[in-house]
Amino acid sequence: MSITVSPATTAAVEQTAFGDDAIDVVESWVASTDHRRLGRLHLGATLLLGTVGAVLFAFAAQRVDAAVRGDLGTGRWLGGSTDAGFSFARVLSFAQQGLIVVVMAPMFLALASIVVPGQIGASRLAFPRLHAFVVWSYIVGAALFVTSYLVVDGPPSVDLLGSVSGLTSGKPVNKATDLLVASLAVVAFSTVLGAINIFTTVLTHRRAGLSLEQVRPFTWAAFVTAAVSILTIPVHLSGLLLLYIDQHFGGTFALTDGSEVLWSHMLRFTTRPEMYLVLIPALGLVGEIVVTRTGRSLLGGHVASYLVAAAAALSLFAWLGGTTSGDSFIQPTNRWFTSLIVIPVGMLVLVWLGSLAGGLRPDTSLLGALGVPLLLVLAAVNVLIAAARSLDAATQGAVWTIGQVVLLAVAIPVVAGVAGISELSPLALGRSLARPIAGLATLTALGGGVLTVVGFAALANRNDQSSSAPALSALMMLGGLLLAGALGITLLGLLSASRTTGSTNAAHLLPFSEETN
Amino acid sequence: MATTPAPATVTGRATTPTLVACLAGSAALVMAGAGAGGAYAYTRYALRRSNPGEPFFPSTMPFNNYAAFMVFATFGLASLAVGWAITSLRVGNRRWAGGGFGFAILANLAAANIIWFIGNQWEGAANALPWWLHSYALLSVAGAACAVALVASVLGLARVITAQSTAEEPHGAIGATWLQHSALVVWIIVYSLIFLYK
Repeated sequence: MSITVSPATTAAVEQTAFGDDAIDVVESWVASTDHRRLGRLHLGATLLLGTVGAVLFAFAAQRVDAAVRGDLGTGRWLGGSTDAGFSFARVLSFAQQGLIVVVMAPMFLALASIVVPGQIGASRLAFPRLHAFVVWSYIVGAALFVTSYLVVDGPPSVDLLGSVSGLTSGKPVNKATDLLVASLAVVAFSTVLGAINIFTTVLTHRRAGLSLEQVRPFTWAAFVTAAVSILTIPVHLSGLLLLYIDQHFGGTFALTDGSEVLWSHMLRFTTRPEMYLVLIPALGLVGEIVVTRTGRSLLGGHVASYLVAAAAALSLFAWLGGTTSGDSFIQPTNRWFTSLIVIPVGMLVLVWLGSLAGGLRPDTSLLGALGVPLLLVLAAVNVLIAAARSLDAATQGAVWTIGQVVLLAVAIPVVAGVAGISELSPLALGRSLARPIAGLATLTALGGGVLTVVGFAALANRNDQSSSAPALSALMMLGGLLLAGALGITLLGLLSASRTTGSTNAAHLLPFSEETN
Repeated sequence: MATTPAPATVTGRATTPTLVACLAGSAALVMAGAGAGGAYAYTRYALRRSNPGEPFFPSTMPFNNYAAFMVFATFGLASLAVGWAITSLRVGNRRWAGGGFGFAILANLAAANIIWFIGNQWEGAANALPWWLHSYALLSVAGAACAVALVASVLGLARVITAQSTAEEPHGAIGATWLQHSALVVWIIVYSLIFLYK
């Protein structure tokens, strides 16, 4: 007897199966506590937002020269002169806040959550459910952050010269401000919880016999960053509480100098340790690449670890920054305590270069590892030139500062992050990123970083309104677009690599011990 | 050349993450209090630079020193109680340990009540004294610390009752005591700022 199945029945069965599959897929993501899976989601979200933020930064960079000359037109831009348009200050604030607080710090946290357990011989993070909460709350916070800038009035923004616009006083408070404060609080809360998770994992889940000093360079950097994040991010959260109460309950306080100081600290990063904290995991990634590519521990044994810890500790002195909105953006290294950070970072560069001598296995990630010292040298040269020329703080200094902030807190972390993701992809994704993709991403990031810093430095050091301004603006815009391209290419590589699985590379699982000599 | 020591056992490690996380959380809580206090002092200093006659703390602010001291006393009692609980737990007396955490819960509730009372006293001065808002923010941080301590005490009691925290494995309960102590530190920071500059 033959059984005939009607097409309608078949379609119903397929629909049910598809529906069940979709529910299973959603459930598997929502209920997952697998640190690799959630970490990839976290990393992908940061790369996506980073790409958008870098594109917006590119557009803002293209208008920096016009802002210096006070020739921004109607004040509305990217959307025309209507109320729905975006002002230069708003785009600049979004790009700065987004790239540093909402992208860079969580990007390294995501990478650490994937890689650290494998590098210390653990099968999972200390608190898997907490990790799931961190990832999902980050996604919610990041979505709120983007939304806050899309609201018509927008939150208060800080322009090129440091003055804050859009501060509201009294009720009703600007809804975008509420959204911004809430989004930053959610992202900061998730970041501090993630830091506690990484800190606890490294301290308590190491393989037996693996001491803290023997862990891999990236794990050490992630541990140090987590420790300092636990101390600094709650301060940021308290500042957000002050802002919320100040803005929401108004009074006359919001229009005084004090509120400017608060917003200046929220929107600019020169007096906040977070600016330097995104540099620390980048330094760890470079050390990781050097160790893997040379097959040896870094020159000087544990000295590199101590240098990374010293740089992180010195970042805390950023709190000693200026007390007025004017002082707070003069220079990233505006207090000599904070300036001391160049000593451990400079010594680290020497350690890396010394470690590379004596044979290595070349790879595209090594290009990024060499690019970071190059960008650090460029930053140092930029400081020397600025010191010799004594830039005008009001205009040239502002341009110079933004260039240095972007270099230290965006370009270098992007170069190191892209190269690090490529290098650690066997451990993070189960297989290596395709070499052309990894190479293209690293080269693009490096080119973007160089063009950005050269453009900003040249514009800051220009004394007259010469005809080179359009060319410099185009250069800075190209640099920003290249940085965005590097993040986008890495995201595509992440997506394509996640579709397949493979074996992990044992080279990244080895402890950073004397045995590797 | 030095070599990596032979692998040892990992006995006991699996129980310590809770304690480490609580210690890290305590540090974060204290830094939140210090951050709020620092931001208050920082912005106050900025305002005094532009208005030299400004007092550091609004002189007409209604401030009940007795109530503020009672918060300090109740947090102190809660800290002593959790200390008593841990000491009892270590000698194997779970009943006394549970009593210690139970007393800490009551003390934290009392502290929360007094913090609420102080906030109500300040509420009327909101529009007249813009700086009241920042003082209120300080109080909010102290209230958040009190809430964390309360939750930690409840969890500590639950762990003792369900025998998850014992004389051999006291880490979770010790973590709860650290959070309780950090709440006291946060109040000391807030109280010092308000009292010293009043």
